[in-house]
Amino acid sequence: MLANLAVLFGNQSRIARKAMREVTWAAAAVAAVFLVLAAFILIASFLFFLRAFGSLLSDPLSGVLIARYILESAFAVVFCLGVMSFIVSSFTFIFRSDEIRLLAAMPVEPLELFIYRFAGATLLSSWPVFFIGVPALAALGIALAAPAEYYLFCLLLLALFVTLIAAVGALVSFLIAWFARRVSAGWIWLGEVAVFAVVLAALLHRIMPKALFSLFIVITPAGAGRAAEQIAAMFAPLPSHPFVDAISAMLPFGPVGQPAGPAMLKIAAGLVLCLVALLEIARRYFLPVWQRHEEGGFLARPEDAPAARHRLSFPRLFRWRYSYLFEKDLLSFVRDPEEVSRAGFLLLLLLFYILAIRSLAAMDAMNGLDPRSWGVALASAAIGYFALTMGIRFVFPSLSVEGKSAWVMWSSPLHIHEVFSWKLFFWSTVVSLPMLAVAGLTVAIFGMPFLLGTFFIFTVLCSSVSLMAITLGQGSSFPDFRSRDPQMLSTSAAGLAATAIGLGYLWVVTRYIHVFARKFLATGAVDVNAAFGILIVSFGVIAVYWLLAPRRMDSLELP
Amino acid sequence: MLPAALELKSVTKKFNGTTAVSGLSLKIASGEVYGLIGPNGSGKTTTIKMIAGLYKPTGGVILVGGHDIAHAPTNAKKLIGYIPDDPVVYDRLSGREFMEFVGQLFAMDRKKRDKRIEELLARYGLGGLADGRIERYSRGTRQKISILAALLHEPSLLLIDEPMVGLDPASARVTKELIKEFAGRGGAVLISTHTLPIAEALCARIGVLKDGKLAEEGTVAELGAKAGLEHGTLEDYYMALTA
Repeated sequence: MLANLAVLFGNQSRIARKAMREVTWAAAAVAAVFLVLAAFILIASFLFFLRAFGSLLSDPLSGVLIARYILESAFAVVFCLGVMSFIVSSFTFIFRSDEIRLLAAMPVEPLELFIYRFAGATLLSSWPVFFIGVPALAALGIALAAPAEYYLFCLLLLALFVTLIAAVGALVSFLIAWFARRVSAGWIWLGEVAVFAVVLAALLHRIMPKALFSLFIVITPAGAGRAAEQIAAMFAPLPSHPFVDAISAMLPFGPVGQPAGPAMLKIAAGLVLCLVALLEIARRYFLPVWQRHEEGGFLARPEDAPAARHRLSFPRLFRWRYSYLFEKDLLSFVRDPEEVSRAGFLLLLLLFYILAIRSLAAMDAMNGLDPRSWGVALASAAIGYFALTMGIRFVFPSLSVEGKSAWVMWSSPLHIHEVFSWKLFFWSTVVSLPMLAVAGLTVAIFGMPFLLGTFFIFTVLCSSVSLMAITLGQGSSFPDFRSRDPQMLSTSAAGLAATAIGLGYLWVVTRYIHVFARKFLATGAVDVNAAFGILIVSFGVIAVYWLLAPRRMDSLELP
Repeated sequence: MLPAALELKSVTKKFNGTTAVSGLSLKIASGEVYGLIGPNGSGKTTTIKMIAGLYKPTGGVILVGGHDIAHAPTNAKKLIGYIPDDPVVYDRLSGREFMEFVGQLFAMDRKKRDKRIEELLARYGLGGLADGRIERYSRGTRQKISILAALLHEPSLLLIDEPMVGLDPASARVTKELIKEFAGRGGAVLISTHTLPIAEALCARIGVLKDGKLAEEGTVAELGAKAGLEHGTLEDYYMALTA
């Protein structure tokens, strides 16, 4: 078994080395920019935790409690994000992988195939540990002047944590894949989104109770002990809790004198249990589950099946002029469970962001500062950033992924301008609607006055449509019809340019909304210049892409 | 005098300096089935893609029903039904939805469109299968759907790039019947194929492309004479002409 796995991983390593040798300057530049971005996020995360732990741990009562709460919350969030990320990627990476299609016809054990793909999915889903867990533990170590062995212990602990996240994610994925054999793809993504929402709500309900702030108001060591027990009880049912327990046993942090042994025992037992269960399930069921997905009988129909009765002919909903183009894109999108799951996952991340911004604003409010003007600007930027992320991931590659199907429209008597306009309308609607819902929620969470709230929603609408124009315009002007991998397409030079232009646009809009909010909250007056600024910048961006992109599309030659 | 269904005048196509098609001229009349044969890389698919409006010619003129594809692409494309060599269509739609979508692209009346879809699907016996997603279709079924979609709006010129790939013998027979019926009703057909018996059975005239140029053109008998062979099949003539 080991020999086959060595061949499979060896082949991956050869492919990677070959790719490195043949890398072009454009690909190298894109990779370099992504590395810089990743480093920037990592450093920002580290500085945030360092500042938080540095100031909190100087207070031996409330400060230590809040620090413990932050670490528990961070690990709980990392665990949930990691598991969700594994589930989202598992379908393309494990159960519907093109590579497995080739390897399954060869004399390789199904368990080997599973382990091979599981390792890849584990790496993919480890990003929350890398961007949140690693900086949090490093910052804690520096804040408490931890010895060198602490960092070695953390490395071991994080490796175990990543394995646990992947094992739990894989077990849940197996469960979904098993049921997905019997239900249609639409129900799979609906179920996934529902499960994600319930998990998120349950997590927030558990770690952010209404009386949270009163928990940290302690004035005696005895009160601190009781509060520490309450916090421990809040997080005890979560699989991330023993990891935080083990860390606090290493440092003078949390309940003094607590041994690491019981926590490590819990971790080892949980991990062994999950891995044994996973490997046994994979050994028995990976091949049949994969084969059933490969057959895909629940989607196709036998040749002699009767035609569907009482069906409405296409287009069912959009019958006005060229609106059938909208319905075609809509059907293609909602019938792709993997794409919808990814979009849902991004929306959940956005909700996390908004709640985090609200919490930070609340903390500053406790310090007597008015957090609203920067909070409003930051929330607008966060929503815009997620709209841009969705644009880069889904909208930028939308013309390219039509790939070899693009001949259908290009050989028809349709004007290319109509194709672009309706794609822009489609994606603006699909992305703006959830963004407006989140904007409405943000207005309520922040308790914004009516005029400011209306302006906030107007800004989100402008930026959503403008960002769709940027990403669609760039993607349509520089498509790659030969690649159907949206992730590869998004990280091309044109994708990177779209990201840079989008971020530049967001920076301008964020500055305008900050100016507007600051003036309105201070004096109650409306800054007309800021409002017009956003309108003109947005209109300009949309107009430029609306005019130029179709011209460029018209000159394209399809493969 | 009515214009030719398709006329190419000195059409050239270059890709980054490499000439794929060079000074190609040909004319196809209404009701005629014309075959393009030639070795791999001789420019057959490039020629068809230029006529369909997917490639822009580097030089020359392409007239479809008298409309210049470069200057009046919409009017020209209204007259064309195109079947590509790789029948990749929207995976997430059903076959029926795809045909309905194509009907919309050609601005067909809904009732007429739906009636015609039923008639066409019946030709291959695809009634039930047409409601399943295209992503689960076999290559042959995808080919059938793209053939039917090209015929849906009753074009006057049919462009077919490798018509029989992936089709079972019964479906290949239906396809031949569909092409003959289309030509019988006055439609012009341009077929690019490597399956020489198909070209021999269907085409009134055949053009042999070599290195992007029209090396020879004529009926099967005329090609035999040009090849210097008194007896033989199109395959024999082809081997002699392209040697």
